[in-house]
Amino acid sequence: MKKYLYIILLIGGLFPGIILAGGFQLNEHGAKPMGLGGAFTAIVNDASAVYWNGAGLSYLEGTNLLLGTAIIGPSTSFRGVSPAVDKSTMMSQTFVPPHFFASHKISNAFSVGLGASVPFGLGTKWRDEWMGRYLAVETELQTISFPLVISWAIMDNLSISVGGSYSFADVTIAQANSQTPFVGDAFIHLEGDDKSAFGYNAGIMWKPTTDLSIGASFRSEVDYGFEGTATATGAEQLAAVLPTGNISAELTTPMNIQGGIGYRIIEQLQLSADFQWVGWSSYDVLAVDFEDPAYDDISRPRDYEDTYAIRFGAEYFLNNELAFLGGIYFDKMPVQPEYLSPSLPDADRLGFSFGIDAKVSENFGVSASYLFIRSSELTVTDSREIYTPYEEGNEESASKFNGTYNASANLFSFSLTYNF
Amino acid sequence: MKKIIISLSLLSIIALAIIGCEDYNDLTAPALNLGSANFTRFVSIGNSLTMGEQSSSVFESAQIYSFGNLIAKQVGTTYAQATFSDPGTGGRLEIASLNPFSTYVNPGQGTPTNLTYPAPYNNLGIKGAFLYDVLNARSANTCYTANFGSPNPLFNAVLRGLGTQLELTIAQQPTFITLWIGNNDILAFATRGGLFPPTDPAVFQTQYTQVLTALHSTGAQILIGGLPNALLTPYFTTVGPGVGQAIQGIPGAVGLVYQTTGAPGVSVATPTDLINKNVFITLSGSSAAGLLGNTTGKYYTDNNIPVPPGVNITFPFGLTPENPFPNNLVLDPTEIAAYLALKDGYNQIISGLAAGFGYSVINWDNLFNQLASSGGLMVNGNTYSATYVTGNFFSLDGIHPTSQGYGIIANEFIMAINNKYSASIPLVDVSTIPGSLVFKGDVSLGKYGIPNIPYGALDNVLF
Repeated sequence: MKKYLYIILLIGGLFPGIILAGGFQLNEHGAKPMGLGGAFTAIVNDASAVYWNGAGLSYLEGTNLLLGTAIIGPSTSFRGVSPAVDKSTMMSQTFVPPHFFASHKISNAFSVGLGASVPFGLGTKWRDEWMGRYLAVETELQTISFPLVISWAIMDNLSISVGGSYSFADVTIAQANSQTPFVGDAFIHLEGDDKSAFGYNAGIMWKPTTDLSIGASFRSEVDYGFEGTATATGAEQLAAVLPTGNISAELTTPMNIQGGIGYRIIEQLQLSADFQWVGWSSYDVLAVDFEDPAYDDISRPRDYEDTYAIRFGAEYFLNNELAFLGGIYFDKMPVQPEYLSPSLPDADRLGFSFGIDAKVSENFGVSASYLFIRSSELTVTDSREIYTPYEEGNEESASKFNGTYNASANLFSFSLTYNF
Repeated sequence: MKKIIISLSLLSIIALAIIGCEDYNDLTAPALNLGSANFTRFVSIGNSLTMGEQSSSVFESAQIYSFGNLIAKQVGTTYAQATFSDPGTGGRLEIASLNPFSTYVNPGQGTPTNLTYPAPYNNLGIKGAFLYDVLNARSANTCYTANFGSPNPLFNAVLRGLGTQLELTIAQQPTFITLWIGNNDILAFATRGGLFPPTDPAVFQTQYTQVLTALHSTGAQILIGGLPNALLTPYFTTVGPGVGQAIQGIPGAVGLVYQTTGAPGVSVATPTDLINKNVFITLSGSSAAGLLGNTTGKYYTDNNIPVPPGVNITFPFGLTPENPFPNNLVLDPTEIAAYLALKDGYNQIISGLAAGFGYSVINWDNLFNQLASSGGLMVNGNTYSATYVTGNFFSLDGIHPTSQGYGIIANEFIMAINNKYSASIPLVDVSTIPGSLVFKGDVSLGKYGIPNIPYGALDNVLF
């Protein structure tokens, strides 16, 4: 059992990863919160408070470690292009974003915490020759964030926290480019990274009674400025016009405000509910600038809108050692269907989760959970994404990528805790 | 610990149960409305335009986009073709370099890939077929051009000794036929600078009547392609204007001095004549155009033909009556007028006969005029024009369409079918058809934007 988990964590460490939630935010930072549907802001009681709500650190004694990973297997299909209903399936990939958090109570008043996790990421891969290859073949974004938080217990039942985070990210975009009227496709590969981006966070937690807790947290936008290179393969005769060289791109990941409430209705059962607001309007355009003015810069409107998720969780304490977790959430898609691209398919999502949280010994705990995400079927009828070669200015009569998306994902998460 | 294991197992079982269900809604493509058209057995008769020739060769990756195959796909019927693996039937033109633009003749040849198909092909288009051939040709040696010393092996490849194009059509008991023949009966005259005899209109009328009468007896629905104005293609319009500009830059040169068929033996095309396309130089003449003003007989030595009597190669080539530009590379105003009159005459014959039988004829004038206009033709977000290479309608031989060009032609057929039979067959999305101008890696230089076409590459160009 321990060995099994160890192997999984090891793999997790080797492939710091990726995936999808609304947009490309990842909310999987701990097996226990995942099992509770992410309704954790008010009731956070382990070191993952560093991510969920720093103010929760004030209620932890001693030193707390939490190490784990999620294993994510998304699957997406596209049927189209309308009126055709031919089905294309995204290539199967597994993502393993790890998480690590540590906290320490310095004094009665102050606690500190730090960690590492993957707040944003995505990875989509379609076959090289698929019909949407001029829109997306491979798209990958990885971010890793290292938050540092300090929490102050103002009173026994009220605490606040502030913190900062250091993040780095890298991004890969690969897609085919038509060589029409010449035969064949060119293949463009963009790669870039940002080694230092900064954000900040704050939290508050109040426990008015022993059964009731209320919490809220804030995580800021993070501005990434990617620097990288473009490479292209294609016909030798077209080498002069294929975009290559240094590129730069900007991406702002959204602000998050999450508020929740937890209530222990009976001795064995605690219910929690969260509302999460995500400032996705920060993502308005996917733009890549080529340093060489000979090449046209890429600029694709995305026009994401601010969105939200509603989360509910239940924790049933069988005894002092074992608790069962259950959760459900609704995650509203941030992108308008007309801007939906196969590089990042999206839809309103429902998540169902369950899991266990177990105390193996006085110091050592383990939790495991499973989350199934079902995206509602989304049929795009007014797409602005053009999937065949066209001339600038002829967008109206060009061929739009209309069709039907279906997606689901299976997520497993495991965390180990050690307190001393 | 035991409890944990039990719980985990339970969790995994439930997880597997959920993964197992895929709740996709069924989607159905809209039903196809063929109206009264019947595509149960669909046969096409024609020449290279039906066969799907591009860039001087017939090759599989282009034959996929023959207009007949595109129509068959839209209506969901079977359509067998005499396919050839790339680079096809031979002599395929490829792009060596884009800037400057130069081409290369692929010396390779493909092999037939559908030779054992157990029935006659649905696509009975044969590159180089004349109207005569539909009725008479059974093999390379019995085809029309065999009479002029050019037996055409593609008749063996397509007909496979089973009969004529007409016989193989009737044998298939077709329900729908496209007939697009007669282009070569006048085209050869134009591509050879007026030196190849066109089919006599009276003979044309007789043969076309025979073909239509025989096809009528099958009871099939028939859609006829008329004869487009080939003089609007880049084969005729590309080289002349460049030569005109070149001559303007040569001190003392009055124009292109070229041989004529009749007296006085030579004539002069002014730069304005060439730029305004009153006189054409064929694409086949592009290499010769590069020799303009040189005191040379290189054109004759390169082509292994004796220097004609009366020609003195110590004079500047193409600029002097002593060393004129070869007759077979020039279509002058007399020849242009003769071509147009013949083409119109054939089209009248075709329309008249078709009307008698109640068949529709596709008139290509609108499409070709639009392609030749300055704005070109916009389809699915892209502009197509009759400009060489960049127009993306005509392939590297300047006269056969690209894959996308064939898509546009297929749509003309589909529109005519929809119109005639109250059908609503969806048009082909031309932008989904891949580009088809093939690259190769060999570089040479072209002057004045005149493409460098190797000698002989286009000498036998026909539909």
